[in-house]
Amino acid sequence: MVRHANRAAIAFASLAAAAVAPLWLPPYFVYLLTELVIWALVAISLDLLIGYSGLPSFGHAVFFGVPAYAFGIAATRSESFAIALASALLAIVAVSVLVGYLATRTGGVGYIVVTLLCSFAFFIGAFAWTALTGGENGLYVPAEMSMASLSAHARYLVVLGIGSLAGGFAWWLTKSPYGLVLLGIKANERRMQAMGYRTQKYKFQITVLAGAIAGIAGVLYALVVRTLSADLVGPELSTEAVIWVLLGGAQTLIGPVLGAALFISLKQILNNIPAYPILLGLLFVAVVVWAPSGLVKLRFPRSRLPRLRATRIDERTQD
Amino acid sequence: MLELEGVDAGYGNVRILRGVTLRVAAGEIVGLVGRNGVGKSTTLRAVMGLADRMAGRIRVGGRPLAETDPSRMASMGIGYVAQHREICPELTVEENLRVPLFASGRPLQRIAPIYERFPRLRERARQRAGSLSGGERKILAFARVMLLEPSVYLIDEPTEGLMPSAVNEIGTLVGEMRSSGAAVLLVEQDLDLIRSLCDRVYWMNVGHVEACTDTFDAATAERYLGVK
Amino acid sequence: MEQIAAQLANGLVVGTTIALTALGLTLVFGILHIVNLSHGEFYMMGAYFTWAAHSVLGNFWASAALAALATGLVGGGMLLAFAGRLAGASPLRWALLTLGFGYVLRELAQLVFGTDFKLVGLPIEGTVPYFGGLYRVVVTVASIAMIVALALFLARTRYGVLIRAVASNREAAAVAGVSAYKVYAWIAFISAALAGAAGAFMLPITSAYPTMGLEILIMAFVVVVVGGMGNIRGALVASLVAGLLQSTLILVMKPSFATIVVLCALMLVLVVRREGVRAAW
Repeated sequence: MVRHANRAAIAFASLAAAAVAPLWLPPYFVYLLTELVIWALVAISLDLLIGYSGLPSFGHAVFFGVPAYAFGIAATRSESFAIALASALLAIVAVSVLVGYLATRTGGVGYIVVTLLCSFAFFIGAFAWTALTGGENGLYVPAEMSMASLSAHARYLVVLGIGSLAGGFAWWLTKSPYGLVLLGIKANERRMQAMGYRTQKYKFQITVLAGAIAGIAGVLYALVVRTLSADLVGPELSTEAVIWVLLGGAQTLIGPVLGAALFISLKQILNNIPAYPILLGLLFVAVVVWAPSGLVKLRFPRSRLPRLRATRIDERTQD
Repeated sequence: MLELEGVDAGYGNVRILRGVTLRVAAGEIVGLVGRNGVGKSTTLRAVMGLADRMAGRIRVGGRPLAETDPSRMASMGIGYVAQHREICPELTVEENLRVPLFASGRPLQRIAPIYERFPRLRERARQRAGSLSGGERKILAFARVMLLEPSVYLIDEPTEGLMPSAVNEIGTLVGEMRSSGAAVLLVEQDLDLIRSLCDRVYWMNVGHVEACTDTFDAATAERYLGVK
Repeated sequence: MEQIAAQLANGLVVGTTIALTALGLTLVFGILHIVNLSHGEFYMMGAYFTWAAHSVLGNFWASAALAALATGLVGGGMLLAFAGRLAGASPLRWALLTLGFGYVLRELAQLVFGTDFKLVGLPIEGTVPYFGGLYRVVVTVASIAMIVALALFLARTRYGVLIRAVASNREAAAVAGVSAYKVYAWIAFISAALAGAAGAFMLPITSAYPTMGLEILIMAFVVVVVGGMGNIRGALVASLVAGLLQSTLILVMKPSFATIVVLCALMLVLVVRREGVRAAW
């Protein structure tokens, strides 16, 4: 009880601090922070899948980018904010349900591949369907349809507010009985089935929920950043999101947020170095080998001699 | 001949065996008995390198067993029949028998006497091993191990889930192993089988061998297994 | 009638390239439990190595053979290097690791070879009715031969039995004396070499460029998933279907759209039959 109260206090304090920080920061940093909150929301929603349900979603960008595009397309076509928002909501539901259904039908590894493929398919679609999405040039959300009229600080507060609500919901979910069921499914799906849980239903539901949260982040992105491109739905963003989660530490919610912050900052810094994809790739390798549980939970691993042994506590349930 | 001295073993962070000490001489069948979870299987697996050895010494044929790679055990004369998943289900019966021979470079002619001894296997030679009944699978598992004529047999609960006639057959087989001069360490829950086969019995409790008896009395059985 | 025959022929050609790549992918998943997201880059390596060898040797076929071998060693080596450390690791970790490999390999290719398309002239000129280029026919036949050889190797030879034993039950194979490590090494090598060969064969047709791996990876993965991960026959069937579909669709729509349609069609198969084609075998 006490620990919970402490945690809640810390959370509120950080939120308050986050809310007022922009008063002392230059507008550019406020803008960066706003974007960061959006990415943090994506990271949290992905952690719900990877960390809490054992669902390795490699196509998370789809949940994020398609609603963003839906908003943008509807905004440019209809000149009505309400319609644009409605389209976005429709897209959130449609995409989450569609991809969720396809992905949960194939177990385990199939989930990785199907989500990755969906991301790829949407990526190609966004690129090639120029009439709809602007193709290579991308799509711009007109200023009247977005939050451009608000000050940088106001925009930030709106995003922070919505983000906190959604993030808070995610946090609440993980602490609830529903969250426990998910953890159970992650640990041992067969046992949960034996206990009578319809695990497929849960996996589908959580995919849709997580997708919806990512979709909200997507709409926020459209409202704030206003520039939409195929990258927002593609495998590159999807797999980057997985890195955020693993880098920060899955199943912690706060870890992925830090992971996202760290990774995005790193990318900004390293961007100018030639051949920086090599560094990126090496970072992926390093994370997998040395920080499999993420930075938040970093413990120095006991020296393990590489050995191929038939029996080992199955890690398949622990990532 | 097999000797374990103060062996600690387990899996990763979990230590299951604490100071296990036992001996099996050539031409002896020694039973390893205890409740579920005390570490009987882990003892066998520790020898085979399928569990992590954390302390203690193991000697085979008088020489220390430093090897921990399970795939080298067969060549050191140690045969292991696992409790579950003992054969390769996707391969045929014939292929299952060929695997140890191919791996050790021994000639395929060795299979013929096995088929003599187990006509049921010959009947099913081309059948997928996964489609065999539980008893037949155990026979196949034993046949695979016997092909290499090991000097030490590690056998983990072979009669679990088998019907009485199959249990008898397994009993005969294990007796033949002793006749061939091998050292046999037999983990079993079937007390009648233990009584009829074993020269000695080790009784385990929570990761440790607590007692060793030549004969078998009800009090001991009750103490370590909770049965009369 | 002619059109149909031509399409079937074209589908066969495309299908066998996919099959060759998908085969390596499904082998490595079925036996090593590795999700290899850099498999496309092995294909890319095959093409680049062939081009490089060709500029030195002048003989296409020798270059292709060398390239396939080199790819087998490099690609297989990369997988093997981590197989010990990641033993028992979840597919997620392998997916991420190989993703990293992919980034590194693609960038290296760009650094070493540049971004322009590396071309090699067709080693065999001439045409054949329905199929078009004679070279494509030869390559298709060669690919089929390789696939058949692999199937025979696994089914009939001594080492094939050992490999299948490890794939079926690693522990039972180990206690029978089969070193899983050696099997892993062979499978990793074969898998990478097959992809490298596919890339080599495609070099005169598509030329070599850094992102060629990504394009084939997607198709290979769909095919592997639909065929049943680890299921060789399934992967082959799905490859042919994909090849046929793709070559037919390209007639009526943009190649990128054709790809999407094929992906959707194959995913529909997944939805209808949960384990993909495996159920039929």
